[in-house]
Amino acid sequence: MADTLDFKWEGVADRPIATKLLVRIDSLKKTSTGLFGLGNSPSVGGYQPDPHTLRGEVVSGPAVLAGRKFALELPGYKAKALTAGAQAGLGLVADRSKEGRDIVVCVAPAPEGAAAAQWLADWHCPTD
Amino acid sequence: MSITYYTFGGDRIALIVRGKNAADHDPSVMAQHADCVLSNGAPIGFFGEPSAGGASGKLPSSIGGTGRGAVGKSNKSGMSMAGAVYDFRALRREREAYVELSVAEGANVVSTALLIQVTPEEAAAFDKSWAAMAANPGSFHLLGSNCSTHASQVFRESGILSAGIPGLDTPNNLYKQLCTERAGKVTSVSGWIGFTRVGSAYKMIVKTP
Repeated sequence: MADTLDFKWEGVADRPIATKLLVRIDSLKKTSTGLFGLGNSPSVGGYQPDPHTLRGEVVSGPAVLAGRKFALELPGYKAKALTAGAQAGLGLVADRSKEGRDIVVCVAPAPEGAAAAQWLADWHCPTD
Repeated sequence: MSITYYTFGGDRIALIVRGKNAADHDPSVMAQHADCVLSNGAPIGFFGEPSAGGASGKLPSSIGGTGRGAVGKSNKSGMSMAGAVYDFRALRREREAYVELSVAEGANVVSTALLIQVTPEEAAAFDKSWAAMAANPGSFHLLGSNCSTHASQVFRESGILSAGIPGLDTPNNLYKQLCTERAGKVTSVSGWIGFTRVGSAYKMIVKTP
């Protein structure tokens, strides 16, 4: 089984969306920040306000990603509308992080069933 | 609810303490971060860079020729990390809630900005010192070489402060030192903070709940 993809959350900063993914959310949990919050200092790169970890599987998107498991740590206020077991859309930019991670800049709940594909096509990420 | 715009015309700069809700609020050490505002209104700050990877597990790798990273383990301990200076462009990506007002409000990231009246010479030296640090940021340690340590260094190099931070190097202790040493020349504002570019300068926007 292929390794889990490790997506990185960033602000969109006027970058165009290169890829939209339809994903199934397996779990969505508040991220442990360790002793005294040392794992999420606001002065350290990768910090997210109220971090949550979303794990799931890519339902549809580019062939190299379809069916792959992924993990994404995102700010809590972006996770509010998401539910484990449901579908969501992810918007990725073309840039990669220094470590070669794909960068997600927007997320939104997606409908179930046949309506999902049309929803993804019409979704105006990042104005989610 | 009120929104106030602050312009920077070369005679004032600012320290921003993230996580500080009001002038008299003493946030916990791990909730704080220090950024600064240059004399043209541009936000800037010093950060520690994780070494590699993300949530947990193996180091990132290219898989199947896609070049897409797998789950990795990063050093987010705050110890022995490379330092980095984030300007407005980098902050928009890495710390959206520090520069985009709507995101600050959505994520409820409240900050306190200390506006400091300075001479044009002090302002120029402040900008120059930050530029030098951006070119050679050095290392980051949560204890003794953190965001406030580096901001303090810039304040001293530009003649705005005369000594290092009294006590532990924290953004809030730096804030208090500036209030004491620059008494009569500082103004404190708290709320959700964003920045907008206007030509070659920036406006700071503060929205008060």
